[in-house]
Amino acid sequence: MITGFGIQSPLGCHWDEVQESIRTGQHRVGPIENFDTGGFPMTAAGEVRHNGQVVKTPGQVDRKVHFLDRALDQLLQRTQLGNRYEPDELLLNMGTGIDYLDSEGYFTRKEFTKPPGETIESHNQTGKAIRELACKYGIRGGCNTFVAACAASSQAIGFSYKLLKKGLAKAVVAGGSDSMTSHATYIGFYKLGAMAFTDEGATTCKPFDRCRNGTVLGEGAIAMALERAEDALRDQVIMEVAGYGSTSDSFAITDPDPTADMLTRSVELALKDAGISPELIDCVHLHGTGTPKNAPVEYLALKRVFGDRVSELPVYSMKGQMGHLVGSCGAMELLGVAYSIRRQEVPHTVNFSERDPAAPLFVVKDKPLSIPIRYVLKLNASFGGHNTALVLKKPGV
Amino acid sequence: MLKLLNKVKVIYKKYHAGQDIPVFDHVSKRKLTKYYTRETMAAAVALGELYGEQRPSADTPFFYSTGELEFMDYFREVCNNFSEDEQQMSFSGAYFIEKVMPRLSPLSQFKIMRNMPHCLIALEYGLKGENALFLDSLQGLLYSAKMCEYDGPLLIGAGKLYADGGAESGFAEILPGELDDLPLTSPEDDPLAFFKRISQSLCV
Repeated sequence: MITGFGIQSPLGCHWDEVQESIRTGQHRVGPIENFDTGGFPMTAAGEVRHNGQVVKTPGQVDRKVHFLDRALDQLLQRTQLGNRYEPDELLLNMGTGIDYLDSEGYFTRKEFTKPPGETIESHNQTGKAIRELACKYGIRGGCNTFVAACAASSQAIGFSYKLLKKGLAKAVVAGGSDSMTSHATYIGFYKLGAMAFTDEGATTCKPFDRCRNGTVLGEGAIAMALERAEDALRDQVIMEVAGYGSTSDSFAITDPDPTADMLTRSVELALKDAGISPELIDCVHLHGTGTPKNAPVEYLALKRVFGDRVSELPVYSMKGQMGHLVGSCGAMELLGVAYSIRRQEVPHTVNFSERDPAAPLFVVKDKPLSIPIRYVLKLNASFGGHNTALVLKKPGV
Repeated sequence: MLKLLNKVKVIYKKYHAGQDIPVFDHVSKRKLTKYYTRETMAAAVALGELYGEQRPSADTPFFYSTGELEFMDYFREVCNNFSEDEQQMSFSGAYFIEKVMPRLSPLSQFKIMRNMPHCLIALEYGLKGENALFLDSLQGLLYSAKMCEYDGPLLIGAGKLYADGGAESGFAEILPGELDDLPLTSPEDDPLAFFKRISQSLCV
């Protein structure tokens, strides 16, 4: 059972604020405000916002650690997990991305002149920082950091779900935190070729749209409480993880396998784990990066699992509105799933306007679609070929 | 060092800074070695020795733990070639774009992506099964193996690249039920220490 969120995101830092952002489809991608992007070929990103304003931090701050600290504090205050479980009964499983390098500090202090192997002050080790946060918040049952790029946080949630299902843990704080909105990581990602090549500000990333040409980066942290059904407080239950599947494409370093074989297989595994047939899935929250290659592969996987029903099965991607959160995207996008389950609506995909004949999905546009929703399928996939599928269920179904 | 106990196969390799890692003796997709770090090279050699002429089934689950990055040497080569004037310029976004990025190898970004060792090993062996990728977590590896419902041997592994260029790698091919036979350690333990220990403690 998912029983609580701690949120630091481009859509807001509280659940109510996030729901309102999703409902209205407000653009949360814009020109980067937190660091100097002078001369950059692309300047758009989804930065963490509180009450609509970008949260700014000094250059030496590793934003993914900063936001995770705040998300954990928010979650643990709200759920009182620390009062209901012993420290050794709590685990922290977090997805994240590459380490942070404060480029300005590195160059200003001329740290490149240090001998190889000497400590570089500008470099922040994310794994170590996450372990320190686990200690700070009294989580002593274990700390696992997941690093499968864009599938990292969905792997963290799938792993946590299995721990609870197998009786190997009582309660887990799971999710993800990532920020690539810094000089080195932003341009590094740009050079990988996945980022959109036209800077159109808030409308840069167009998931599933015929004119999509790439993704845009976002950042944020989400910590969620996962508890066993018998331990969860009934009034706190938001939704239930019902099934999980993971596979690897083993096809290429960056490109998804165009046959969609293993993405399809991950969906089949998740459905089998949930013990349900495809007909019970009411909507699909896709990875939906806005890259040219992503949409046809996701379409093909759905076509193979759902057959002709794919043309009437509503799908959604959050990335047009807030960008691609990479190591935390899967966890963050579960907020969209929670929105669907709580409000019985499939949100509209921001920046989608024209269907692509190569990926003729039923993308909800302009305003949320109200339908009865019991089961939601959530897909993520990453550079390196990791695929994940999660089945989420409305409580009480 | 390759050891066997029942069906458990374990290997642990360590390479010092500057030591040759004979990766070309163990990979078939040689073009991809340009993306290899020394951690990936060590992993390729270790797995080559673990599997020998055999090839694992494509649906073999593969769980891997990469090491905490000890250094971020991203820009050293670029900066060492700066002129005196370039070194004195104050930092800005434009400086970064004009002076640093054009000189950076396009392979650099791939080499700092944490999932590349797992990805490149999966590509070499065609591994498409269940997977998870951890940062420095023995608990993650062992729990993943324990919870896996695959009916056959699975692969767990760990690697690390040190600041001086040294590299370590350890792998075990194991059935989930056989985990109970291994000398388990605290979940907080270092995964490479685990592979080293079991490779030393298991006897043919």
